[in-house]
Amino acid sequence: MSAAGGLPADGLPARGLPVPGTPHAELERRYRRLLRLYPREFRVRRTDEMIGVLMASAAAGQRRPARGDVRDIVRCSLRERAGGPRGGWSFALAAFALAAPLFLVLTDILQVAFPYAESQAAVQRGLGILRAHGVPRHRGVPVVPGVPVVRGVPVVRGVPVVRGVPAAVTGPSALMPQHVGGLQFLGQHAFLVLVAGHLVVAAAVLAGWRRTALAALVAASAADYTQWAAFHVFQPGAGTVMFLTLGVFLLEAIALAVADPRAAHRREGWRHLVPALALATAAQLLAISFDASRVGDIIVWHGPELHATSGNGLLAVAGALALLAVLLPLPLALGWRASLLLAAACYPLVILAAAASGPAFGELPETLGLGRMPFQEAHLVILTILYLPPLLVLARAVTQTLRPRRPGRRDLAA
Amino acid sequence: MSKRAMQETTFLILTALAQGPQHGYGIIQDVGRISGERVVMRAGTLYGALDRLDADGLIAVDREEIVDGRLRRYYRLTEEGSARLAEEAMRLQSAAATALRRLGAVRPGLAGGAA
Repeated sequence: MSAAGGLPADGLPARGLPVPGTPHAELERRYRRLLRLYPREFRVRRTDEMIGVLMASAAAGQRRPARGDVRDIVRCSLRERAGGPRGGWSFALAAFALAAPLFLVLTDILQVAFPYAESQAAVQRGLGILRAHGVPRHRGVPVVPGVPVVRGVPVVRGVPVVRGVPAAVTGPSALMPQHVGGLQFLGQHAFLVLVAGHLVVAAAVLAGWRRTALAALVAASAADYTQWAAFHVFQPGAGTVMFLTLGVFLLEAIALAVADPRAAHRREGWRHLVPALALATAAQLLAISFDASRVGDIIVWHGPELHATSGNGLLAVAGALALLAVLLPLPLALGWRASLLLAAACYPLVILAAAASGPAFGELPETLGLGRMPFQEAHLVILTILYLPPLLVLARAVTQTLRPRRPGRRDLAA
Repeated sequence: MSKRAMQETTFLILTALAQGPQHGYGIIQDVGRISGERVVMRAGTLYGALDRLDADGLIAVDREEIVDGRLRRYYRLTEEGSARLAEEAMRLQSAAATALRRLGAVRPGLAGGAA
């Protein structure tokens, strides 16, 4: 049982804990500071042991960490963070299952907190387009172009929509600019139902009631999809946030089915909330920028107007934020798998953003050659294109999670 | 396990543990000796590898001791680890034997006593 070769009995130089104020104590303090580069979970397990080895390897009188050790620790700690905590896919799914409901609630809060509106110029321009197409007024209430966009706008239902012109919506004060988001949302039943669904999901996940969370998820996603399907034509702008939330619903449902979110919470605290917040902000900015590119001018937060082609600046900021959200799990030591799940959730939005920046925006079915296809079938094809890649990522994650474990592999929940 | 060749770090650590349980510093010193002081293994590399080997079931913690106020954790090979090391050693031996035999056919001086 003794160490190999010509080592002393225990292989360590006879050196105990350093006396404070000595070079040795200073070296140990510096090594401990260096080891903070590692993720918390690793440090808890390894710091004392590694300090023992580093100090045993140090020369007498050495005050600073050896350059080779510094390089080694920097390199290995980065790799540790990118790889994420042990537990592989089951951990990534658990972290996603925990963060996603909070992301959904955040998107609701942001929609209420940051309302925006069409500019008067956009209203006038839209009215001109409608007149040119001979769209009639309804009982003295003019039809207002521009889209109320965000989920949970019940007035859209049942309104005749003319192909080739912007989605027409009747409003209570139709010559006034259409307002999107803000406190008015709290008076809309569809929005309240959706928020209630999100809150139930978030609470159930935190309480560990996975089945309740799943049931609430299915109900909320059905409500979400129904809102979008009620538009009668394919309008990317009209479902901006929904395209993301529907993807998140999908991933969340499967993540909940195979992983226990509480295990991730016990181990990682609230770190996963940071990417969720960044992604929710990106979603809200995307919604505004999509609307801006459809309508032309948008007044954001009742502040300065954006220019006619506006939306591009916001689109860039939103894209950068979404990219940041996808990459954040790496420095936060949540691992590359968590990054990949977030990227899969964002995929439908990326496709839509690409469509929005091109001339084909709003005519995705035509671009894809689906123009003559019956509406329901075209919907199905588009949904498949949007959600098949995220589903494939999930299938991989699920098969890896459910694979029988090798002996010696520690269980995540342990 | 896949049939891919084992990383040198892995091979050296498993070889160090083949003699009996050792702690981190012991492994580092032993790896130096085994490699003829060619490989200097450092703490970050060692503990990253130990985590990986533990997760793969090739090594396990044997015991823990507190010596001079410091934690010392001893590691040992598992049965799976021994089997993998033996398999890899034989693969290397066979490849090396082939190389030496072929070199011996061309330049007899190189084969030495190994052929």
